Amino acid sequence: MDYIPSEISIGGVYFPPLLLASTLGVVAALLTVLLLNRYRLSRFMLYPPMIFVAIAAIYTGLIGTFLIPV
Amino acid sequence: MIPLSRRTKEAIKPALAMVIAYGISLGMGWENPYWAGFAVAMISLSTVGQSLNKGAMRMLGTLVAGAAALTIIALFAQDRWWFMGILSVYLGFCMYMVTGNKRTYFWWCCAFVCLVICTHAASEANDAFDVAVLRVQQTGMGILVYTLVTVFLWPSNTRGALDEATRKLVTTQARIYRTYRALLNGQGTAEESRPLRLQEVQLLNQHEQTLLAAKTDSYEVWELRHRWRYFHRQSIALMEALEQWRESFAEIQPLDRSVLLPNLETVCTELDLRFAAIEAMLTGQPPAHGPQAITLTIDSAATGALTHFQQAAVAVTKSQLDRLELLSRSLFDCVRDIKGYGAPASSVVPEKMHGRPGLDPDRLQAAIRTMAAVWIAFPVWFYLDPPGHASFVEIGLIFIMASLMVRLDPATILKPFLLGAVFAGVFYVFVMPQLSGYLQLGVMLFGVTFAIYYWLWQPQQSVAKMGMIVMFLNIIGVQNQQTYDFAQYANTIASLALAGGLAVAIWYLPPSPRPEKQFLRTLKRFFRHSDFLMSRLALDWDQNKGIVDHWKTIYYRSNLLELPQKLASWAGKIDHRAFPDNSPEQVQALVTSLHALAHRIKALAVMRDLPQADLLVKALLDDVRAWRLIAEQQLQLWADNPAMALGASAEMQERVMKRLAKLEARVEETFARVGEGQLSSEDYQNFYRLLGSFRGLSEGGIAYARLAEKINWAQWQEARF
Repeated sequence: MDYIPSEISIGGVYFPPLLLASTLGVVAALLTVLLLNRYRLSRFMLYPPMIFVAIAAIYTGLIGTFLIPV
Repeated sequence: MIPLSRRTKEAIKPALAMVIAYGISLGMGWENPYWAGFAVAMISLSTVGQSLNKGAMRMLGTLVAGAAALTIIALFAQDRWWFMGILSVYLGFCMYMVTGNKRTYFWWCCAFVCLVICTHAASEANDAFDVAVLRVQQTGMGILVYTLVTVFLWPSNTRGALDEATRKLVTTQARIYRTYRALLNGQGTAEESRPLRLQEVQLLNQHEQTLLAAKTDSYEVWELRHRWRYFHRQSIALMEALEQWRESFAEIQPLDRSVLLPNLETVCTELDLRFAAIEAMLTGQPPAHGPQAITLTIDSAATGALTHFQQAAVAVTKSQLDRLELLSRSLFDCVRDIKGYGAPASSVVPEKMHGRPGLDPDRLQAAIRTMAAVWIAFPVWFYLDPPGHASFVEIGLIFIMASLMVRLDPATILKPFLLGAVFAGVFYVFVMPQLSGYLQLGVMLFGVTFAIYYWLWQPQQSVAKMGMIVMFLNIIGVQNQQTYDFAQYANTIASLALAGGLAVAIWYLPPSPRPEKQFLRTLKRFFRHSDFLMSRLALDWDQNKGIVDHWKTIYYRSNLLELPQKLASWAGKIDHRAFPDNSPEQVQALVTSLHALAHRIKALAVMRDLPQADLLVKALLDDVRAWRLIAEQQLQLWADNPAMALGASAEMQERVMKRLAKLEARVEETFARVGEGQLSSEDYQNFYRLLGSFRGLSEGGIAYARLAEKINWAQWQEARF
């Protein structure tokens, strides 16, 4: 609770930290599912689109906690 | 004068029309001039006729959509849930029509223009009428401007293109006929003719599109439009007849054709000469050869020595060549009439009306997905109010509807839109604030439109072109009192990304939209329909049993030939790199065998409708039933799970062949018992054709089973992201 989230300035334009964290979360999830597809691990999953959303949410949470506090 | 390439001319036309449309809109003080720009961008096609057609569709669609939107707003302006519900039903209906084959663009305009007006009115209902009228006005003006530009500036008539498309189509069909003739004589393989068959389908589509345009921009084509349409339908019938002929080669090839069918070569040569004469007429030369009505004769003495199934194969070949003879003669007369080389001929081949009752499940799925999208997008707007507000709903729904229309993943469509937004941002931020006056604005509009149309000129780049131009016109947001706001631009980008995300999320709602899963579902449907039709082919089945059964039979029968086409379309979209065990050639061969199977079932259904002698029906009822039950069982197995049927092809082949041998023996017994004069020659012929269909279907099923064994079904069935 010591850290106060603040907007991030890119070229003078302020972006909310959640936007960046979620964008990075989605990109990381995309890379993960590419690997899961590549190694045919997706076959163990019941409904991959929902798993993608879950992975993206987990990554966003992790990035929002450790890299770009939101 | 500098000679300009066609590509340059085709880019100048929309660029000029864009500048004029914006000029008029701004000069008249109308709001949202980009709506006129959209109309110009959407209808800009290579010929006057094509553009006029699309323009007319857009105008009519906009009028219908305006009326529908105002009605919905007038009735449900005070109740958001009713408003959303009725709008979703309307959009669902439009999307059902959009995914069909007729007037696609009209229904598309009916859907998206209504959505635009309704979403605008949902946030600001008091000016809904003005918005609807403005939209109609701007669209009409855009269409008018583009039409005038294309009529006066390098007009290009489609008449020449229609002649060229017709010539190419006839040449390809003639080459296919000659290839098949050689194939019948043991030269070459069916695989070699595959590129020609694919080309034939493409040319038929091209011919249809060109004919549609030529009717609008050529008076001569308009006058002869009925003959042209007849020619097109006969070409489709010829394609089907040629395929059925090729599929029956396996049964007739082992027999001595020169003895059984003494005038086979004469008939084939006559057909060859006819095709050559049609080709000559299409290149402007009078026909050197007039068609002679000729029938394939069967040597009854030689045929009598054959087994009953062999006799049936000969009867099937005769009926197919007679059909080819009739169709080629009809095409000859039609082309002679169109080209003015002789007296008008009446149509030789009676045409069947192809009315198809029932709902198409794929189209219904598109309609339901659209309705679901409305029910998700509106509550998100009501309760979360994301960036873009109403445009979040509008863009998200337009993305999902466009994806359903072109059967492309929304992420693929989103990419050029995002690229277009970034590209437009450069002009919005750095160029537009430096401009003053219409002259400078016009130069920029002309330059950018020209660049986009020149750069993305190939037909397969049309989605990218639309994405770029739409986002450019939308983001620069030209008005008479121009203002600039970076926040608005950033919000547009954010709402575009969010709306794209919404469309992707809805796209992945079950059932899976992945091509291999769609392929598997369509395949199951194909076998379910086949199984149902087989159960209705029993010789003792009462055709007037029930109205629902009768309706289902008609629907499944007409749907059966469409399903392999859908399978071919899905097969083309499968990412074969992800499934290395199933090569594109293998999948294509599988689809071709399904197409053949569909033709066999349809042929069997037609033969089943022919009057059969009671005596034969009674004698063979049990044996035919036993054969049919084996076939039904196998179709059910394939419908349940194609992977489950693996390894069963050898056993199935054995069972089917045993059953056919029994049937053959029973036919022998029955014929031995039949007294002189008890059966007419028509009875014999109809029966042999029916028998030929049984054998053809059995062999078609075995051919499919052999190919299906080589497919790794489990890999396609695996869950993937």
